[in-house]
Amino acid sequence: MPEPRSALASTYTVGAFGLKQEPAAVVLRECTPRCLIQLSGWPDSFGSICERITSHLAVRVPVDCLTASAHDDVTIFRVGPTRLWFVCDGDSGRRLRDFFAAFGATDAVVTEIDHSRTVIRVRGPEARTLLNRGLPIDLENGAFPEHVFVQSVIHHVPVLVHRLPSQTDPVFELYVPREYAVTFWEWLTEAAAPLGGRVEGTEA
Amino acid sequence: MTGQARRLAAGGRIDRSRPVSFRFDGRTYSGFDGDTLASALLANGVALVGRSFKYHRPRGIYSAGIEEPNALVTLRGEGRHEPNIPATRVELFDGLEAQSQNRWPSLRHDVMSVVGHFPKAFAAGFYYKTFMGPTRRAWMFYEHFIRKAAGMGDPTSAPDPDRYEKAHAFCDLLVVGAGPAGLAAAIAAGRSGLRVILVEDDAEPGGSLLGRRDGAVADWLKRALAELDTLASVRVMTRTCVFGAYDGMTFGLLERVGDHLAVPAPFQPRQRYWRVRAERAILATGMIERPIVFGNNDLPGVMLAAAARSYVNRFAVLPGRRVVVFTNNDSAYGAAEDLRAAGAAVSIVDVRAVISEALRARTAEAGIEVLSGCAVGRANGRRTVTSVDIVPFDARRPEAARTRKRVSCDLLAVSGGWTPTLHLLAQRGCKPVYDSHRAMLVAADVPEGFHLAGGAAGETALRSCIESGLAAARAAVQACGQAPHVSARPPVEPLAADAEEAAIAPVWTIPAPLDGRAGKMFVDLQHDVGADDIALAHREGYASVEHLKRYTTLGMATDQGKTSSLNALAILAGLSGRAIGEVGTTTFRPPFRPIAVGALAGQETGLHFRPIRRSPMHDWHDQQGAALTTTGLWLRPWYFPEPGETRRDAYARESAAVRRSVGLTDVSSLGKIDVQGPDAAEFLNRVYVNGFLKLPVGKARYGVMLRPDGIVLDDGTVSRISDHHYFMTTTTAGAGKVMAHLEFLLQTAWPDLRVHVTSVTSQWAGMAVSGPKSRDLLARVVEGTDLSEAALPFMGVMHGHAGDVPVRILRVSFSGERAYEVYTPAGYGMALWQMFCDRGAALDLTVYGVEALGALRIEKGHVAGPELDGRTTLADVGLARMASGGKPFLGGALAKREGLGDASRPQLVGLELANGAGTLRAGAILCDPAARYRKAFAKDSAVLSDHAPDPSAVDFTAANGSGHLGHGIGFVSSVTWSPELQRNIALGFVSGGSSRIGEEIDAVFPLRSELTKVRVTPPHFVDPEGVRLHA
Repeated sequence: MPEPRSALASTYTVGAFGLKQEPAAVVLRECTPRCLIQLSGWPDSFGSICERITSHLAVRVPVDCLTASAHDDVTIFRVGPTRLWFVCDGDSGRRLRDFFAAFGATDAVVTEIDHSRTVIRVRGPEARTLLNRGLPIDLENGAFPEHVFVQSVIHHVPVLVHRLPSQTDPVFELYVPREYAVTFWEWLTEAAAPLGGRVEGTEA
Repeated sequence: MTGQARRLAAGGRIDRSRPVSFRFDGRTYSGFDGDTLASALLANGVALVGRSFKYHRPRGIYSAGIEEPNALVTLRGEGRHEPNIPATRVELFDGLEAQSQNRWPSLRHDVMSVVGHFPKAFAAGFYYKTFMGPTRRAWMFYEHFIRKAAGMGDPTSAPDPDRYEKAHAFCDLLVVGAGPAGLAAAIAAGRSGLRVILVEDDAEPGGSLLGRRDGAVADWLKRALAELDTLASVRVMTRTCVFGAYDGMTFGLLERVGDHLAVPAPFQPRQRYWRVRAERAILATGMIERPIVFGNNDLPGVMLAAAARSYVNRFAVLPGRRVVVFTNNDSAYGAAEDLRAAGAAVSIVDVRAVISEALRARTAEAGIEVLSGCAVGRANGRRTVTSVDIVPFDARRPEAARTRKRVSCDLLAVSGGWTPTLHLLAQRGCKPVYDSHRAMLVAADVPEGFHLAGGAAGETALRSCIESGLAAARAAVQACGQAPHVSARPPVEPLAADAEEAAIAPVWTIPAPLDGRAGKMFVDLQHDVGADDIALAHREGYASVEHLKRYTTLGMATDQGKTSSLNALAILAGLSGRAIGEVGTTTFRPPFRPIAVGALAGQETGLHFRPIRRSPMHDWHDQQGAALTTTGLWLRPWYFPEPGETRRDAYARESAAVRRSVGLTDVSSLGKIDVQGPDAAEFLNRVYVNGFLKLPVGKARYGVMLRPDGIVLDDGTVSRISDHHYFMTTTTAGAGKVMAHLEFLLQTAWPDLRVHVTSVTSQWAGMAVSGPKSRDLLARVVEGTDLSEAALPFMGVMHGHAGDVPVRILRVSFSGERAYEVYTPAGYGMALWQMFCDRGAALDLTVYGVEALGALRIEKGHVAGPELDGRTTLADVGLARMASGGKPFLGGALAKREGLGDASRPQLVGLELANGAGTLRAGAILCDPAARYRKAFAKDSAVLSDHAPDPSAVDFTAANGSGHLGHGIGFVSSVTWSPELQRNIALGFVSGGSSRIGEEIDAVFPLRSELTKVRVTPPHFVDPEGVRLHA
């Protein structure tokens, strides 16, 4: 299978930009393509589906639509009452698909959506400031601790914002619908310019 | 450059080590860093700064703050040009360029000042009275000139070079105003651990303290700011105005990031619009001084007393050397003393007969004469005040009197009392009430979440303001669920006890002196509304304060009547024999101060006005030089011009290629919805008018879905991928509404159905390969796959690979030619597209855009968005036979409504030019020629009768009026110049539909006064039998 082309291919430029700042106040990176699989069930069987997933992956399925759970390289978001997103690398994705194939169509359905999102990681001492240029969500530690995610809107673009664990500066990953990726990236880099930013290579 | 004749040798908060040069009306002046434009102009002895809105009377600087009604200037030039900026809010910077407004040819000699000699002709509501005759159309004539003369300041059409930002912030406590009460509140709340945002409109915190001479006050301010610096949870935002209070404790703020600079710093925005969400808010917004109304009270040199004090103490400017202070309360005495200390000769005119001993002692010691029981009846002067006429005055029985004394002066400082700044509270629906003891409007009910402190709470003395700030903070902290901080050392050490103040005498207007000319008495300076205008409105029956406001425009200028509202209410109360409290108040609405539209737009300009959606192959289109167009939010290739081609040349070539060989177009924007579940077939069967229960795996079907009311919602195709898996496409424009529609049905109407729908528009890239050679091309790309008619018949679906790229192929056609829609995961879209381009070269492949796409489908008579516009039924668009008679479907019941089944409804037809001449336009109204009347639009046509004349008797053209009225018999929905037929064609709807085939009717386009003769044809212009689908 060929390498999928990034939606940002023509606009992604590695290096510092905006206000000269060392270290950069915000660091941006497009995350390498991942598997993104959606699993949807129905209320009467979703509980048992979640138990099977927990047992298989050794990670508890999130109980709300605010906190992601993760184990190894698999992160699970509960994006709806009976809808889950699984984010992982290619190998884990194949194993997950094989596992999901065992579910009957009456219990759950799988939708491939891994080409549908561009994932951008934002980190740095001013990561919150940058995101709050467009995100109407309180990102302070008490209100938005690690592992929390929201489905919201930035610059009129629907975005899932996930806070990852980190030792120092806060780290967020943004899931942006692919067709909006360029317009969103333009907004993001322009908003970051007054703070001082750097774009890292996707191989980093 | 002139010297600063009125600059004091010492004092003020200006930085004398940083001189600043600026220009006003073309002359160069000097000032210092820390000046405002207003203070610098006063320092240079500039008294005349503008001309009033209606009467073009000379006006000077009236205040020192946001309430300034007179000194509105235009700043900067070209793209940064900005009119109507109060000079009192402009921070001086080197190179600043400012212009006065509303005058021609100059500020000193303004031609339009002649209007001021005819005040009665331009009284309140004059445009309803004075300019209404002698003919009915007279107003249309006058309006042109009045509109040209009206307005204040000129905008620019040059592009703005600066950038603007938006941002969100969150806090436990928002403190509005960093005067003494706000500072105390922020410190107390910060020490209790709350997240605090303290907002101050001025460039530095301090509020009214910045205008005080008292050393103890300055020390207090210094200590308070030092304490604030130690509190990490308190964020101070200066140069920021809270302009609006909205639902959910959300506030709109405007931060002037770079307004005080000639050019914003690199990468910085000029302004930033904040939306702040707070748990609680303390409004420490202070008070605004109001004047007393008397004759000629608008002369330059008349200003508010606190403003004069501020110019002396904060800016080291002496606005006058011979000063009269006119007051009804104690606060103006501090101003008088400070002016005296700065070297001015000062007299005080106090309407109160009895002045306290303490005040008498202070004024005597300062050498200030006090005339009690007197009033200023009139100010005198031409372009600046030169004297005032003092009259005896009894505040309990105000009556006109003869002038007792004329006092020469060059500054008249007026204080009529103070009004708490409650605008944000009023925006939340709280009506203030009148406090007769303090002669001010105060808040009655404070809504949940809000606290008032300091002047906003009606406190006038300094220590009381600080203590009320502390109390408000304590209440806010407790309301946030925290315990207030307890410390041996109070958060802010209070100042000495406040001096006792004598009562204010509630005086609003001074009757004109019995001798001499009265002089106009202005209430709303910015809109030139006088006391006589209020009286006129009252006489004409406008008793309600809401009507008074709108009839006179009082309070409707950019200052929102900050210095005039209470005076107006009091005058209206007096005229109508009511108490002030009974008159009521009007409603303040956001913004508290004018906001640039650029700030509200932020980055949402140009291509970011709305977010742009790009296909996975967008870069290819861009590199190939495609002309781009927007379809909703999508940026799509419109046509691909070769050198020298016009748009028509390009799309004609592209369309011809599709008809003759093979074309390739990007259809990634089509809505794509994944439908899965054991009840998926049943669900589709319910939402579409035609049957889907028996659609086999590997087949697609065209479907139309209706709204619940029977009107067509959208059309598309559904492919069955596996037993319980379907792939639905929708129109580009309909994708969102269809997705919402399906989700709504599953969540509310049919929650028992085990179906999931997911938008996968982002997941798939789509391309259409169309034309007689389309199968050949497909075979070269999707190798090793049987694409024969048997393997992939019309409406068949199959999966395969193009190299390593997985593809889903649907054999469907929008153009009417043999065609395939090929889908692949979006990340492979560019690779697949390139394969088609590379291998299609040998087959004369042509890439085409949406213009050709549109022409092709119109030629075929396929309906699209313009036909499915939310008004048409299945029958209207000629698809009635699609509806299944054997199953219920959504919208089916209401589709049978009497109105939707009316045979006279407009039905889909084709249209062409009857004589080959004229223009076909989408949106044109189709009219029956037999229904013309001679009651024509054009002014030259005689109005004869409503009876239909013999159509052959008169030649009706667009020039003499089409003669048509009303809705006509239909409309044109889509037009194109057909490359296949080499002529203009259209689709439209006409009553009677196919029964009119061959008829000639009129297409009227009133916006351009066009009448075009058209002929009704069948809608399928090309290949009506559908032979080419299988070629």
